[in-house]
Amino acid sequence: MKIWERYGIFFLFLVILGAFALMIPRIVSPNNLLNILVQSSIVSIAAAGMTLAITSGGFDLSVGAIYALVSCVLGKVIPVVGLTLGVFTALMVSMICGVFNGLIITKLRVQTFVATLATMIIFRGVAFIYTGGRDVELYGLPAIKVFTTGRFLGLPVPLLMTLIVFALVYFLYHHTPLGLHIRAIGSNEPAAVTSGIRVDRIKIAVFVFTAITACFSGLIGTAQLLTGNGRLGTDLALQAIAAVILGGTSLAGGRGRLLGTLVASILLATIGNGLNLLGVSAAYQDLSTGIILIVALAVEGLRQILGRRESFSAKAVAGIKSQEASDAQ
Amino acid sequence: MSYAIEIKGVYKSFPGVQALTDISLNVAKGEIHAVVGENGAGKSTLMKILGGLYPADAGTILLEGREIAFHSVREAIAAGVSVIYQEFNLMPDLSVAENILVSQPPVYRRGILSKRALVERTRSLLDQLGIALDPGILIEELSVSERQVVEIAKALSFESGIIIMDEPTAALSSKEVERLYAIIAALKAKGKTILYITHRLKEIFDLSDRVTVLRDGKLVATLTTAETDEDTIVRHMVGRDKASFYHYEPAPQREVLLELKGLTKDGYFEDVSFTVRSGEILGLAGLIGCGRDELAKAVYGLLAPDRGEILISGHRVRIRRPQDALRHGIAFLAEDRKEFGIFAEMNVKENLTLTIINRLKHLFGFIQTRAEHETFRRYVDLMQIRCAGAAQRVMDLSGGNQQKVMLGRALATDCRVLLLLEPTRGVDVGAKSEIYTLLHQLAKKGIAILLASSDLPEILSVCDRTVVLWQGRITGRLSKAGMDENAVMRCATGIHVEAAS
Repeated sequence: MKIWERYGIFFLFLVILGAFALMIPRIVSPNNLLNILVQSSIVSIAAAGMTLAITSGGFDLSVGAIYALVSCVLGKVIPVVGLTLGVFTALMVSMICGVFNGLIITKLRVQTFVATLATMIIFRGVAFIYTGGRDVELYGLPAIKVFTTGRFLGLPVPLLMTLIVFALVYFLYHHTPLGLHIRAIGSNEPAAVTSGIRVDRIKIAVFVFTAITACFSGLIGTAQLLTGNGRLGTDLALQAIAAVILGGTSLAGGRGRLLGTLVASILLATIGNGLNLLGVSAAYQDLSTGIILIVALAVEGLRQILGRRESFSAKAVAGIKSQEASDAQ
Repeated sequence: MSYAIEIKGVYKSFPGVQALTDISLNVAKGEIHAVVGENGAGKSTLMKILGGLYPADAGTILLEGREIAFHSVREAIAAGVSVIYQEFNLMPDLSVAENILVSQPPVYRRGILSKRALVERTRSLLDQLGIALDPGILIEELSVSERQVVEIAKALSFESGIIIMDEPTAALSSKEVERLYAIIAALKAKGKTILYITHRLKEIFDLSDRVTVLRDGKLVATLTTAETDEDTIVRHMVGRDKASFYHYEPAPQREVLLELKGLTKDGYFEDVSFTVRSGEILGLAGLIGCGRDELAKAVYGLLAPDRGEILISGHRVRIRRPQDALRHGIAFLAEDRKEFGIFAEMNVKENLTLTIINRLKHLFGFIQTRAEHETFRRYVDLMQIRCAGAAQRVMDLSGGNQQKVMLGRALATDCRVLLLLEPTRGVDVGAKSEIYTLLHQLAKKGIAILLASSDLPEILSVCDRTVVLWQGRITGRLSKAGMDENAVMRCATGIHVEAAS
């Protein structure tokens, strides 16, 4: 089980990439591979934030709605104040959404699932009201295309953003007390409370993180579509969650696998890309996302079942071993 | 003189229950003070108040002469009080070092975690306790005893002057208990004040300087340990004499209901054969890890044996899952209530009727409320379960009453064979004797009972015969006459091994 947890996703990725490569060799051309990486960036970035959320024992269903809201904000604000301030405003708006999520869950004690489901609807509602129900056009704002076709240091900006986000989240997770506390909360929340960890504050911070990553995803997505409306990003939350679970992070919390998330998200993009190249219609791509999600959850379920059987006998063995060990002392 | 702890006139009540009434007691600095009492006596409540989990309703508490009123566990820890509960407050996915220092993680400047300092500080704390443990191991890989060490190291890391331990030896083997004694001695040498809740009288006399007895939320007596004895303490606890317990008449024994033939599970137990008759209570004794627990679980279908046979009333049966066992009339009462039995969030009535709910249905599948309630009433009366009503949540009951609910549920299945695994662990003396009386009543009704327990006095006083295991094999079969502590211990430690039959 440990091997699957650690390396399973890599094997899976190679297998699927290999399978596609057999059918369409040009899928592994450097150009196309770069394409895949760029295509995966929207989900990857959101999945990075989602990894933190799931590690802390929760998750955020509203990231797609925040993504949509960001697209609307960008479309309406950039013409007025320019790109930089527009992006800044979108970031602020998304952080407010994150705090809102955090407060509902910590102060009103609403369950995460219900809370983020509700805010998902609320944020989209806000987006619709803000745009009067109409699409916002960004065709006249070519500056925003830096987030999709721009290059910096030789790399496409979306890819760079993905790498930076993952690097930052990795650092946070492994090398800061905040990361330690997020894992503690996910592992045993009541124990974290009695250990004096400020659980409420940290949970709010986590939701702000997911909101910020949703904002970054929104920057890229909006730049690609050059449109903003309240209907965008409906798949984002589930795809991000699917990537996190496929990547080996346990839904139970306490253990996150950031690298796994990244690889899983690339895998999802690869499947989309491969199906595209095979000329499969978009409808089948939706189907494949759904199937992958079921597979991901089934794997998680299987892991828990097998894990429980393991731990049952492991406990018995541990009991005997500790007796032997203490007898031997 | 300034005491470490002064408690004056503390009261605490919960809905429906006056948990503590006018508790006053002093504990000197550096003293090891034992607190004993039946479950429901209020010991845990008092400790939780000291630990900051909830505030007292009335009364004063002074620590080193300063009055305190904790509103949170953090405040209690900051004031120097650490509580080590029976269910550990540990994070299974984090390492030993991370668990110990999670609330005070060592950082470099700029808030970066210093992993090196984490390991070093942990090592130094463990050294102070005289324990060697790899700071990098994840908690979920540790045994109960090792996890307890981690908890104690945590208390040490807070430099708590007052350490409260709630039933620390409940799940430890005898060697591990010795190690705990050494740790407590080390703590005392550092001038720590220790409050020690326990049911085990032996530990009171091994460890404590003074002992306080609580009963029904009131403080009955505070005694100097050297000046008292077991009988006195027990009398204070229950208001009865110890000798008046555990009297019973053996039930008439009839046909063989349960028979094991050569039951084997590689690595756990080997070639186990014995019979249990209707009306008989057979003890299964042995030290932790002897295979006793696994054997009981195998008969119930929680573990699959590799070889051997199980016979019910002379018929060979295949038991692969608990449903199979239930179908053959075997019921099981597990040791770890929280993991194996209690549906903590549900109420008493639901817990009792859960397994047999199918029998209480109407034609169209709805539950017959009246039948459900009758079942509840019947078992509450039968087992004298003390609860505030059918709707009370089971998790609010004391340990002994929870166990009675579990027993009631097992009985409601109309079983013919009852398997018990440590049925009175964490249960107070009074409830214990009630449960024993119940078991004998059940035996009289014709049920065959297999009692697996590490509690020697329990085995000796309750069982008609005993089978002793050592390293997975039967090393002794003792009749009532031949059952004494010495004989059981010799078999349990492998000193005496019966001839292979």
